[in-house]
Amino acid sequence: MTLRCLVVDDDDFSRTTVAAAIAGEQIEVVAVVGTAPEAIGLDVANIDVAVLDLDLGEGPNGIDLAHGLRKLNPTIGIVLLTSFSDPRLFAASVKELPESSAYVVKQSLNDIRLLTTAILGSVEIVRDQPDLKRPRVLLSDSQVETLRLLAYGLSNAEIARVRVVTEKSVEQAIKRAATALNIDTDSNSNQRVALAREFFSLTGATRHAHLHR
Amino acid sequence: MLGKTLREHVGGRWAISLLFYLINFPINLITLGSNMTVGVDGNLPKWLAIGVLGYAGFGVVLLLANFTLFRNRRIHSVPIAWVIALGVVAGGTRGLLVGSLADSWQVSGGATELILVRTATGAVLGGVFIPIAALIISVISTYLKNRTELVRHLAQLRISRMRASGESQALRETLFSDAATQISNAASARAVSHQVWPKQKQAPRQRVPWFMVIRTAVLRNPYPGLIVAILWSISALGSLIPAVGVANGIAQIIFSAIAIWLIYQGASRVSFANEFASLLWFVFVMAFTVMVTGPIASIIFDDRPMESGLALILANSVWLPTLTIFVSIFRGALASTEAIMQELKNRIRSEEVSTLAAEEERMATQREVAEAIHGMASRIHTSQASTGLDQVLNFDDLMAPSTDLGTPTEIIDSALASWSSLMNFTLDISLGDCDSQCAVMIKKVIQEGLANAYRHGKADQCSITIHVDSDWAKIEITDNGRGIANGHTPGLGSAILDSVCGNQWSLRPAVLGGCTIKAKVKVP
Repeated sequence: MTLRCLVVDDDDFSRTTVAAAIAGEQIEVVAVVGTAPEAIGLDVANIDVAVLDLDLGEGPNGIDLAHGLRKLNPTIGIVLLTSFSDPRLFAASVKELPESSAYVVKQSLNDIRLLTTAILGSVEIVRDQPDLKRPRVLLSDSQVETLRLLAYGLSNAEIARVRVVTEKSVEQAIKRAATALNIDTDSNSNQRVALAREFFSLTGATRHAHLHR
Repeated sequence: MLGKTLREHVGGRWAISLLFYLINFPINLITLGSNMTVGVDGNLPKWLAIGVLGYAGFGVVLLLANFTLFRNRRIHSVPIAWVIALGVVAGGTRGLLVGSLADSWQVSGGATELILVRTATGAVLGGVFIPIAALIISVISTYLKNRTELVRHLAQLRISRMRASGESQALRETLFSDAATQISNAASARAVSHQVWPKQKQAPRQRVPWFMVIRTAVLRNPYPGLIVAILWSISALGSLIPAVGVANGIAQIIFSAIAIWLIYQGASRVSFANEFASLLWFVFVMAFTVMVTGPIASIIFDDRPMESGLALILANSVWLPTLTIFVSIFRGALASTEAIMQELKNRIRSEEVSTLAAEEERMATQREVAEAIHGMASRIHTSQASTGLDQVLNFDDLMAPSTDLGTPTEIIDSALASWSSLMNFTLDISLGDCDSQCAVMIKKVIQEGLANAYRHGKADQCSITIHVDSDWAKIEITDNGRGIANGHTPGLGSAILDSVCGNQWSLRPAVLGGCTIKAKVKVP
């Protein structure tokens, strides 16, 4: 049975390549769109599975769209295909992900068949998603959040203000995050840059990190 | 000076009961006198005596009803459908009972036992059971229609009393002064705000107890004698239909109803100087109608049209006045909730509604204080910051500047367009002289508000209001989601709103359960 599949990604290149890669005997790509409104406007009841990027730019993200699609078609399969190794890096929590959805990290796809398998599997109701329950990046929630703000350029004082904690606790969180990510802690300014770089490589943004070591 | 219209006369309180009573008297006598005497045992005095007794009994019932159980005279709406149904059921029951007893006892229609049964059932059904049942049904239907409003009204009353008496303000001040002793820095302010935030479960919506409602309505019932009269008369249908057959009986009812409606149409246009004159006229018209409709129905439906003519006419006329009165009530009744609500309002001090409303108000005050303390945390922190952070943190600086923002309308529309696929919007937008820079700030607020409504509130409906004048852009977003969850504290999302609005924003529960975000952005 051929699955009718929708691909949503705001990056043109990403979505056309993903669509081309998964099209085959078992999967028929019926629509390829770039934004949530376009996706909702389709005949969702006749779509079997949706492959969504987490980050869709301004407005609703992939998770919001997944919930919206499920409202229109409660049995639609959801595959979140994203470069964020952990949803917390995208400021989303595991609890927000829709039930019975697959979370596939782009960097880990060495074989396109892994994605096809995830798509085919997503249509069957899978109650247990053990992957999603364990954090994929071994940092605590507050460390991830602190790191995220640091990577966006905030100073410790600014981070402390946003999170309404003391500056001391921000410094602690950064130190612990650095240890967990194996970044050496001798020089302060390098440490921040290194942390930011590490953060972005975990989000899949920088694939050329090795060039700068 | 015009007198009252006939309708107004007939619609008056005593007139109706009186009218019915007066019309019934001769008919009652004549029915029994001629029908029974001729058809049964020829004993005229006996039948006349029974007629007078029965009539007197009915009068007693009416008087009792008017002076005891139903003292108050204010009008309330009687659900006619219920009243009719009840009457039909009572009439049917009575007819069946009498008919089956006649069969099983093997007696003729004029037998004394049967007469007694008829009288007794008529009295019990018509005088006691039916009026009370009708009253209760009418009360319940009015109450159900208005309960939500009533409870809310009562709660509001309690809350405004709390506010007027200074109770809420006193609570607020206590909470603040207690908190002040514990707040020394931003972290403790945050901790204190979490403590102050009310953690109890939302109290269940209070209902006003049933016994209170019924008691109030019984004491406030209008037209009591009227109800008694009507329903007793409807139950007389139990006699009519067995006497002339179903088709004929129903036809008579329908013709009479039409005739009465026509009478009333005319009655609204005719004016009389005094009640007596209008009463006379009314009686005349009614009698005439009675004469006419009975025979017509008989001609159509009966195969022996004129034989039982007199009996038909007389049986017909028992309920004809009843239907007249129906029309009167139906057209003249006012909404009764006022009476019930007033009474219940008076009991506000002793009812649980008031306690629970007070509880709600306290929780709302606590939430306000907790939010204010949390806001304080940000401000304390800013003032203590060593790097002299005196300007508001602006996330704009962190994003790449966009080269072409578009017109203000385009900017706002783009924010709405992306979320409009997932939620329905009601919009009220007047951008005034808002420029693109201001529009970008408004857009941030909207995006934050809509994301909040969708993700945390799980809403599917938002109403968005944006009004821009020379100083401020005022934004309000109300959603129909599940509201602020228990124990929820303002979190990181508020940082963005802080950066755009300073402390000119608030997140509150909305009246119907969702949330309302109100924000003001200073126009640059």
